[in-house]
Amino acid sequence: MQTSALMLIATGFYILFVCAVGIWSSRKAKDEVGFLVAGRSLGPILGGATLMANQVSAGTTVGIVGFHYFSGISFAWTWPLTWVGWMVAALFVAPKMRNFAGVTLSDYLATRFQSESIRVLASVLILMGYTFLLSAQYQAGGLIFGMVTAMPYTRAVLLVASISFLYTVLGGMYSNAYIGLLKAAILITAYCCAIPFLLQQTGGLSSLAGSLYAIDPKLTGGWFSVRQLIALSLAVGLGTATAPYEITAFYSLASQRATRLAIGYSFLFQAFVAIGVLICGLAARNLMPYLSSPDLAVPTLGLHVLPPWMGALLLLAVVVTLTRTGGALLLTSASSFSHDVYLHFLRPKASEQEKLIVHRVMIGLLSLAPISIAFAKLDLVNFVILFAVKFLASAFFAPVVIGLNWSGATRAAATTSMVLGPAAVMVWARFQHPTLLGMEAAEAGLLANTLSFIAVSLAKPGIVSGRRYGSQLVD
Amino acid sequence: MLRFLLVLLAGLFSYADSISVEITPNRHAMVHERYSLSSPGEFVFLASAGVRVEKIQSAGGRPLEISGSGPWFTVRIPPTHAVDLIYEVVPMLPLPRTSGVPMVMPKHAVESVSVTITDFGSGLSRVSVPHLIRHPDSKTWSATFPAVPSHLQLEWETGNAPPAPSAGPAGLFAWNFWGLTGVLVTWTVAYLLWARRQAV
Repeated sequence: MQTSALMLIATGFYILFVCAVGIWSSRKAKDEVGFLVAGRSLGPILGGATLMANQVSAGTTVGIVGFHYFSGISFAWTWPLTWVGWMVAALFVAPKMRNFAGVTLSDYLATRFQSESIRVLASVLILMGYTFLLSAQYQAGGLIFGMVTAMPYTRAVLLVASISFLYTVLGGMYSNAYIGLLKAAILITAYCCAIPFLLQQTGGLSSLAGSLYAIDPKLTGGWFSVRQLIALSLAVGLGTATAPYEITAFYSLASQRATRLAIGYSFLFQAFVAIGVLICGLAARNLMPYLSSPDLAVPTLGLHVLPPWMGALLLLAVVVTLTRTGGALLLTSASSFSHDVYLHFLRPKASEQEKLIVHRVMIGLLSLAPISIAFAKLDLVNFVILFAVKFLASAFFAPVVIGLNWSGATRAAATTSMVLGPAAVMVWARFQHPTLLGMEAAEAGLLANTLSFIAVSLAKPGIVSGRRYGSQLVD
Repeated sequence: MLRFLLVLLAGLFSYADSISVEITPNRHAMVHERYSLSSPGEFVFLASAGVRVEKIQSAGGRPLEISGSGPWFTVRIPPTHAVDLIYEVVPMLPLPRTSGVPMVMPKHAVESVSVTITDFGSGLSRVSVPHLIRHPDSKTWSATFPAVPSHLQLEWETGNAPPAPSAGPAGLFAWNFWGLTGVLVTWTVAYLLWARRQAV
């Protein structure tokens, strides 16, 4: 049987599984806390899979494979560099967030800085960033399905969006957690099968390295400079430490102990993925060196290089990856509006039943904008994702990480930094070559965010209105 | 009418990019490649262990110049609107059990390329990479790919084991790969140990 037929059958089973998980989870998600943060019940392994599943998106399984395809091995160093961000989360963010026990990132910001305007600002920024991140997931899904099954791009985008919508609207965070565990299992299985086969077909690691070196010595050395790698990793890593959907995952864990351990299990899952995407990208360059787009590396491996069952498994892993990350993004962006704006300001006394209805309606409505952006195909998948990640990291890094650990942080500082950080990223993104002041957009954004946060806090210490509650959080 | 003639002429003089490989009874591969080119470009191929690429020539019989020291070689092709080239891939050992047939490929993306392999009595049992469809006659395999594969991996039921591929210089690859793997493993183990201790 052909890979495309196997892939369609596997996707059919996946959709059935997703429906079953969604229906089962919907019985558990009886109130808002159940629906948005899984009743704060996730253990370390389920939590670790959830954290990994949030981070490993289409940007990883399609985009980073494409990066390795055209730039070689050096980009792989972004994994440990990104883990620095996870360490920041483990030491300074996750346990405190778990103790705070909110529902959204905006909950924390509004409480810490005692400002409802900060709640609205954060919700708007999350909506903006996650709309683009979601569109990238759908774009990758459209490309994959289009290439594998000859399905029209628009129909493929709609299919991927429908899967994400389906299980998220049914089971919320519970569904996301269980599909996250499935995602971890499928990714690890797919890479464990594909890596030996690809290495065998390319003559082994040394032979693969030799052929890449002969194409361009930078493929086996430093295509990206250390400075570029650090800048990129800072964006992704620090973005992860403060990413709204990871904060929601921290809220969902059963305890502080589970929170710390979950980050460790997420490292374990990520390590498999890191080596898997690296070998896939390098092998694709060796086996099909002149693809018209690096984003085609994974579908090409799945369809034309790996044996049919293995190819179908790899492609299914991609579909599960992008629909699962899509679900997390959808849940977080919907709750940032339904929980933080609609229910908080307009229906503060809504019943739990009404809250669930509002969240589900919002998930449906917020699916639409990313779909229309995905139809327009903005850029290479990973470039879209990197931009959105830089944008969000530059908005939330200082208010979350420093705000959680320094009682002197003020409301004005939080507002200023949440505006200046993303603004700097947008300005710097206009000047890519040469970069403005020699800085990458992520560096500029994080610097603007952090410096403005500290400077305004020190300059106007008298306007702290949330110091008492903020101090409790900090302590 | 004029438009019809122009379309007809364009059809006559354009090539669909295609590769045809014929496997001879002694397991040599006779390769015929056809590409339409919008601009003249370099062609390259990646040497495979255990085989030699010989007699690269244009369809008119004109030998083509090869340069390079491996594993990638460059083939100079005179500027033309289409390329039609022929070459032979010869195993270094008689009757190898597996053989990687290098493809001479344009050094740029093509829209798609169809590959057909026909076995003329060598007993070819499988094409392991890339994935081709075996026809009911059991002698022909074919598929269309989004890019030219660097080689075709052929397998027979019996034959001599091919020599192991020799690794050329690889720059900092080993340092990067094993260094990265070491860091990821050490980090994960150390963190989990720390997190467990914190939790107690």
